[in-house]
Amino acid sequence: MGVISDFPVSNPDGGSVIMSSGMGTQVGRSMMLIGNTSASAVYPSANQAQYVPFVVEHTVTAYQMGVYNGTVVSGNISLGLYNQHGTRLVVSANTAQAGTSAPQKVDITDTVLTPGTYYMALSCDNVTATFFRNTQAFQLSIAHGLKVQATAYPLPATATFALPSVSNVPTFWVQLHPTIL
Amino acid sequence: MADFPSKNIPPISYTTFGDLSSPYGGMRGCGIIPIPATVAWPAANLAIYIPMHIHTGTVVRRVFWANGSSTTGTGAFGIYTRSGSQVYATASTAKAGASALQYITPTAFFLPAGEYYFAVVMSATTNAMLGSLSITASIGRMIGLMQEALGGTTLPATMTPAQFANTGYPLCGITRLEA
Repeated sequence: MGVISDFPVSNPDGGSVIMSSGMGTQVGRSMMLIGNTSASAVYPSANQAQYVPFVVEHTVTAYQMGVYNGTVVSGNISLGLYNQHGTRLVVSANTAQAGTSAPQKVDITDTVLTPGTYYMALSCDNVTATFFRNTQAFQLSIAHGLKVQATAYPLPATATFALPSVSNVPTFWVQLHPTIL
Repeated sequence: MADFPSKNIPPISYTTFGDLSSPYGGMRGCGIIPIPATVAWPAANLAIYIPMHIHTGTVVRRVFWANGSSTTGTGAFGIYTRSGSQVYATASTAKAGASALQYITPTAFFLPAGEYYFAVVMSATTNAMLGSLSITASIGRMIGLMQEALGGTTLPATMTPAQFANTGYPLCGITRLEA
């Protein structure tokens, strides 16, 4: 027999939280980006998808995603969420990158995430576009589970994961709020 | 009741550069931010023991260390309890893959939550590991590193650790992913 605390819970801290490509939150953890101070840099490869794993420890609803644009904006971006096996759960509309040196939020269809492992994904259709990002040894990205995929704009229904070979992970995130079950 | 959704989801990997599970978080708290690069292994056949906090038990499907630009010699990776008993260790293995993670696939096993040491040993020194030289002997002691001089790169059944007296901090870890 369980006790009441065994039952599904919402984020006990309440409110909206952000799970970013570089940090965890109280509802879970993402890979950690280390290295230099975040700076503006061009997107690593046109149409390449970046998949950053994160863990959700409470049932939450993802309702918005975003990127931190760099000093030059260009072309279009696609943001989405995947389950651990690479099945797309939600994807944003293809969105023109807009707003230099500023965060850009993109709405997604509300998507419930139960405790588990997920990937947040970003794809951009050109390499003129810039994003704030941290550089870190790409081997460290591999060690922490980051994946990439070529020719993946817009984000595909099923991800085909490959390993990164460059040290450039743009800053992007998913915004979550508690889910009452 | 145990079938209800759990909050205990292990991360994809536990690495020595993971903020929540390794001394790395403490180092960051002290303003030390090691950045992995090709560096020398401190001494031939020296095992380095890194204290790790496995906050959520996980299935271990692969283990790895990170090679520097040289793949000369052999290496091994292991996991020990805090009391020094070996939980798992690879065989002494020829290094392969310059500037890359070198994975070894054990028969998958479950590593319960708890306190452990990850261990790495390498036979060659020059450009042998992907790690950081930010960790000096004194910092290494502060964050709980220990070392053991071995006669080769076979990790012992029981640790006989000594005070950390070198410079260097390797990237290594375990993952629950098969690929």
